[in-house]
Amino acid sequence: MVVRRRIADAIAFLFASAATVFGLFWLFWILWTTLRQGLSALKWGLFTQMTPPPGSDGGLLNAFYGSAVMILLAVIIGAPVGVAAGTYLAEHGRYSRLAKLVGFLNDVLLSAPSIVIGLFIYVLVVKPAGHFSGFAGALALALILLPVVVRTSDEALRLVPDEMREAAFALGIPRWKVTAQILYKAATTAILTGILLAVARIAGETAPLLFTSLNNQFWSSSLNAPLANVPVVIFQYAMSPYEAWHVLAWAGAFVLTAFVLGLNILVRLLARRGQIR
Amino acid sequence: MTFVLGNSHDLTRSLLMPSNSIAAAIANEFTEADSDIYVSSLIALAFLLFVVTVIVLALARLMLARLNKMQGRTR
Repeated sequence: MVVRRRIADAIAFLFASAATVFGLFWLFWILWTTLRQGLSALKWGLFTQMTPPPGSDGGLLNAFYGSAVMILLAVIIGAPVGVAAGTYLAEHGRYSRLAKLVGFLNDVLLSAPSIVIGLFIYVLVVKPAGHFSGFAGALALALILLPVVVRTSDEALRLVPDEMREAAFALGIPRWKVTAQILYKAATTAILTGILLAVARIAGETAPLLFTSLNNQFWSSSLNAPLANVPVVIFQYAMSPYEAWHVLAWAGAFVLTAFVLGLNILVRLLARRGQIR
Repeated sequence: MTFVLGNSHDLTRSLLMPSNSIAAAIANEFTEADSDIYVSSLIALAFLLFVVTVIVLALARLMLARLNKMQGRTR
């Protein structure tokens, strides 16, 4: 009996390890390919020069800037609403029917194809305005970020033990104070982790930006005009016939992948710190 | 995905031939759609994609709910 269990355990362990190695293998292959192909463009100029016209040298400064602005704006728009909704789901509406429905709808939004969200913002914002804009891009990204934050902050607050709530209520602390000063404090790391994960999710989104912020060959910091961004630049440059543009696209892809990887590592570190405390 | 799929407008039975997906069709053709009916059909495609997502998710939820009901019950 014991031997059989040992063997089953060894086999399960083998398969689990193989699955992990399989996943890691692709990640490193992707990193390696983007690094090798984009190496010649990976120099300081990548971060200080604009996207070039065909045939000349350049970098991706405007694209990095545009992406950073749109991601930041998406977090500013989406994260507070997301945390508030997560609070409702975990605290105030935990056993209500409405919360169940909201949770389901949130799941729908969570897995809605990102291109559909892009089209939605196009019809809602871009078409009435008559032109593409960085603001519309940020809105589309915020809509993708929102359900991720709702789900993660919901889970984060549920992880706080009920004894903590009971202790606080027993002291006569009003509910809003319990939530704002005790539960948030206990769940800060987890909520932050969720927001960072959401940022990692939206950093590489191309589809929703195609119809909202489009792209810009030049430096522009106006949110009311088309804004350059890394994913769409990669998309356009990779499909172009120019060798220099291909290299830039690879370099952009490498930086993006490294950024998302770094963000995920940061999340892991944060989560570990939260556990020790 | 649109890079490797091939964006063909034919319906082929082979998985090895270029084909198309809803998301790729929208991404590639939306900026080229010149007539209202073209734009509308692409948005209709997006709607269909969304409906499929909702149905799949609802099914998943249903299965989970049934599993929950089974919990603690000996058959």
